[in-house]
Amino acid sequence: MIRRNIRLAFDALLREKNSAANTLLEGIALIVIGVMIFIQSLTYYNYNESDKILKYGVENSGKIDIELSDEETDYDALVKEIKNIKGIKAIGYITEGSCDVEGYKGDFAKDIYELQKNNEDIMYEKTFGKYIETVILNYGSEGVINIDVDKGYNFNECDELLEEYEEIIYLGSNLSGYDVGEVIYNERGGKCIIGGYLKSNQRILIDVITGETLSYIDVDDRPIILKKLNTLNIFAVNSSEDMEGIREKIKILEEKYDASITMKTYDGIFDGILKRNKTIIDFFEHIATLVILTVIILQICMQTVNLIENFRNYGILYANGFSTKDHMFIFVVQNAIKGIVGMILAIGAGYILIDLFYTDVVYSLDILYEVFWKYTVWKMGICAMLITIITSLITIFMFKKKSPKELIQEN
Amino acid sequence: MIRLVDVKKTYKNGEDTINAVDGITMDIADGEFVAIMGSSGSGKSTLLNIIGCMDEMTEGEYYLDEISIHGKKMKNLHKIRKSNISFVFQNFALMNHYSVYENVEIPLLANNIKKKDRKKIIEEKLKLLGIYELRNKVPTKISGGQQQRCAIARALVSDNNVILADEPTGALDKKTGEEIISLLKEINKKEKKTVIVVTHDEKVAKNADRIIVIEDGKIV
Ligand SMILES: Nc1ncnc2c1ncn2[C@@H]1O[C@H](COP(=O)(O)OP(=O)(O)OP(=O)(O)O)[C@@H](O)[C@H]1O
Ligand SMILES: [Mg+2]
Repeated sequence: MIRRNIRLAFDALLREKNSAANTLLEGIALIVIGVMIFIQSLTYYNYNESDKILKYGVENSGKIDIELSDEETDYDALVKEIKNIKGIKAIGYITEGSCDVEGYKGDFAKDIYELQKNNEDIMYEKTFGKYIETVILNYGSEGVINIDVDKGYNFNECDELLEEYEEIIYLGSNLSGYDVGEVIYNERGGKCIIGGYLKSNQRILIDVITGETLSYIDVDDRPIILKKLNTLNIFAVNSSEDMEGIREKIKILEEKYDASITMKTYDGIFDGILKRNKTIIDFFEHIATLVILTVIILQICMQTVNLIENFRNYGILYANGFSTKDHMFIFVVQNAIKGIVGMILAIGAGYILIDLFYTDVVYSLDILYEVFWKYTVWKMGICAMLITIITSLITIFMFKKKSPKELIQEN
Repeated sequence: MIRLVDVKKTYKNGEDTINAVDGITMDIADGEFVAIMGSSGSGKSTLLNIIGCMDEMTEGEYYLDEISIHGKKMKNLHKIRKSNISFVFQNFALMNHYSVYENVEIPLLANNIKKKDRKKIIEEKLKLLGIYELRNKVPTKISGGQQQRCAIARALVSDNNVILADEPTGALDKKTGEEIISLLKEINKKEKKTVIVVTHDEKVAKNADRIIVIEDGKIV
């Protein structure tokens, strides 16, 4: 009996008016729903992951903006005075450009270390090209930190740049040995400030310095720190220092130089970003929910109409001995098949869309697939089930209200 | 044996009530060929639907082979109809996406008959009605008379004792209509089935053992 009803359901799907088109429509509806869920899940995933972002060490360093109201004011003198405030370890100006800081350990670190130690100049030319300067910060086969500066500087410019170069870096925890806030000089005299240490699995925002985006990179067991350097001032304070005391002294300088000076520690910047992102996520969630509900309702309507369109056929079955139970079964199976086929279409489309829109700037492909399988597919499945159940209930209700005579007269 | 005692069916249309069937009492014996006649709206179809357990009645008693039908719910009516009554409709009521063969197969599927047996029964009936050659065609590709033969074949395969036909010739030309009626008559004689036909056509009615004329829901 079940086999017979399944056969009839398949017959209806394949041969009845508009049923095949309706199945395709279910696929499209699920694709739209899937895209919504996917984007929503991705932002959530991101937000949750950003919770893992480095949160210690960053209270001792941050951004400092200096604005002068009078062009005549002696900027350098002001900076010097700020530097001299007790507790401030460093303040520096970073030129525009971009900079990758990478850490290596193990055999690879050993190789790089040996190469650079013995044959530095060749190394520049061969491995990193003319326009990239590599500087070893931490000598020793235990670990190597590598700074690559690109942006099309030539060799000499690179040399110059690195001599004045000041920035905050975060080291992998396996490369510890410096105090947070400590200033280290690279071999060319460029300055780096240790901003903190990252444990493996921790993450750091890519644009932590400009503080604008939610993007991050994985640190995993190979500590990587990537920074975009914009024109801005950075500072670091002694870890034991009270920020409030420093701020008060800064206030005095503001009055003296008629300038406005804002100091933001990185942990404050992180919190700001997280808050802003939460607002965006909440807003998107509302929109996504609205779109998903609309599409579900739309598909339920289309699917119900499709079944009602073919009520005459069910009336014929009914008048020839098929029971209401048989019809319930046939409706549910039909809707379920539509759901399953729709899911297959949507999952296929998901794969194509992920590949199509994948750019390696922010997310790795693995993350996209993880979000897809872990958070998107089952929610899509629930939507498909919801469509199946509600459509079946409505059609069964409508069917039961009609006598076989009325059903046969449909259309 | 069909026995109706003072059967009534009223429809409520807002304020008005329509007595579509208004106290009909009659007996129809097994193997009888009965024609029901009457003007449009007199209640013929309503009566036939009640006899066919397609519709619940409002009042009265109905016995089908001693089983009392009155007071039964639609669900139970369905079971009684399934094993006792077959229908032939004016508009044939064939599934257009099924072939002639598949259409005739429907009642057998409903009764869970095995595939092999189904084939035997269907082919026998298709041959009896002279549409065996058309078995793989869909209803839209054959003539009205052939469609009605297909519908009659479908009514025959379930081997129910009562065949109800609501204006089976209504959508056919005169000659084809006559053929269909003589077919029904033949089935009535050979297969000993009770046939009740609703018709407007006096000629059709003349073939019947008995003519029942209905006016305003009453037998006259
Ligand atoms: N579902 C319904 N709701 C309300 N009134 C109905 C319904 N079905 C039939 N009627 C009314 O019941 C009366 C009898 O209808 P019925 O269909 O039985 O007539 P009929 O004799 O078969 O007519 P025809 O020869 O035109 O087919 C008519 O007045 C009709 O309007
Ligand atoms: Mg009628």
